[in-house]
Amino acid sequence: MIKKFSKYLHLYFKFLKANLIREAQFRSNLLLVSLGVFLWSAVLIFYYFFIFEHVSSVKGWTLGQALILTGFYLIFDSIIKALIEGNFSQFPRIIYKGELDLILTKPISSQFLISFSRFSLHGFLRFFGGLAVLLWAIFSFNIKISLFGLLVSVLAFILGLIIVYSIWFMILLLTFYLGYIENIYFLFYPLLRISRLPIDVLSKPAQIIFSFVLPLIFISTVPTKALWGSISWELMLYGILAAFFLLWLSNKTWKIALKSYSSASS
Amino acid sequence: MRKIRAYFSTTLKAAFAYRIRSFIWFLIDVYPTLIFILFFSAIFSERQTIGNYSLNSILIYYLTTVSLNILIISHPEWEIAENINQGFLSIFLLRPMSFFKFYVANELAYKTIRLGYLAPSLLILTVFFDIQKFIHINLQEVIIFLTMATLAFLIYLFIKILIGFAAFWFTEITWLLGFWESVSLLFSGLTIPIDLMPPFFQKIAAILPAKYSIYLPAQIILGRASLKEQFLGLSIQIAWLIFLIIFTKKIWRKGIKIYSAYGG
Repeated sequence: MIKKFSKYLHLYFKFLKANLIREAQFRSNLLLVSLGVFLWSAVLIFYYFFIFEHVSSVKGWTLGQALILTGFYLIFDSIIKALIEGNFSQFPRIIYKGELDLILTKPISSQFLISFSRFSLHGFLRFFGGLAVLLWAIFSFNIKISLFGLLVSVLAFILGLIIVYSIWFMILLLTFYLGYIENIYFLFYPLLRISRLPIDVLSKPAQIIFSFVLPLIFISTVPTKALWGSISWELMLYGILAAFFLLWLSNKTWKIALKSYSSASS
Repeated sequence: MRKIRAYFSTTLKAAFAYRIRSFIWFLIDVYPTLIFILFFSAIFSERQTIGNYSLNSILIYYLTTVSLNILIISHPEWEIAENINQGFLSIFLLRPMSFFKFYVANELAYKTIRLGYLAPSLLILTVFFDIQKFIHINLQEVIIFLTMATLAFLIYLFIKILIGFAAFWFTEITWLLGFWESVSLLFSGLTIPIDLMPPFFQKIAAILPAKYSIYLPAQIILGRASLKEQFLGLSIQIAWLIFLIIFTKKIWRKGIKIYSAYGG
């Protein structure tokens, strides 16, 4: 098991290196894209500043707490953009054009290869913007956090990544049945963007859906609340079970979908 | 005009052939606004007003801005940049067809498809939520609204064409698009009504075309824009459009001088 894990980790670093070399060819673009990304992040932050000019709290959330949530969301978004999006955007083309043959014939997990062979450095750069917002909000608004809260928060965040990866991957499997829809990977975005909001602002039925059916609260709401210890251990346990179940399910559905794949090459 | 009709018809057929793809793009335009509406709904569950807005007026505001976003903002920049980078621009240079007319017709066709998705959605909302009760607009304002929307379509189209032209010099245009999208998102009033922003931001919005393309038409629908404001908005839009047409043509001429393509 450990040997297998280190093999995949080693392989991932090889992919990472190749991708960084590719992106280094466009250094000035990288810098300018980063500036654009910071501007976009600023728009999200301004939004809360403008709203909280008129109200002191919304459903129990103060400006400082909303900014911490935004920080988590920006960090999450950066990781998704860096690790997953570049791969998922290629997904329909790879299947439709028969390029999956190349992946299936390799002696490693095809799900791993189709999901993680590309890495986007400029996607990752907003990580620092998100981290800056998070730290600035914690210190400026004097939010008290504990070490235990921080650890639970990091765990919840990782669970959120696994959950989002698994759900998004399963949505993309529709490509096997619906044919070539180049923008199908965008279908998940509306759900992902819901996490820009604290779960408490949604209606009760929506809160139940995003807590238990599609547990996207682990993207930003749970990591934020965990910082000051207002997350129950039952919810964390549910998150762990849901994350591993969805990951397992994504692998099962991938294997089922592969049966519908017909190669386009000779 | 015959050429424009032909381009329009071809693009319409192509867009209709990929209906699911078009529908996904439609959803992508809608969802950010849904998030803003959800947040405002939470605010209004705890209070009656925020600034000059009640729950009904904010819903109508966002419904108008999202509709304008769907019908006005076009996305030719990626195709233009790809044409420049891959050398396909030569087709426009060698054939007796206008580059600009092609993109106007092209985008009109895409917008027609979007209207096909938008109109039933608006109709359902109107029937179920009795929206017309809260809209105060006379015939003159309808005409001004439609004129503003048309000018806004052209303004955004020329801005996006200019962003695409950046590929003559930079190859990659993501950064420029990112800048513009952020500025447009904030100062058009798509994220939050401009009158809820601090005065400094309102002053910046006043000189940019985005405000007069999205925010001001939404204020007309709400019956909150005076005649003076409407005509001032129209004048600023016309000035921006003239500037953009001249500037785009200048950039086009400079761009094709340095453009090179290989192959037969």
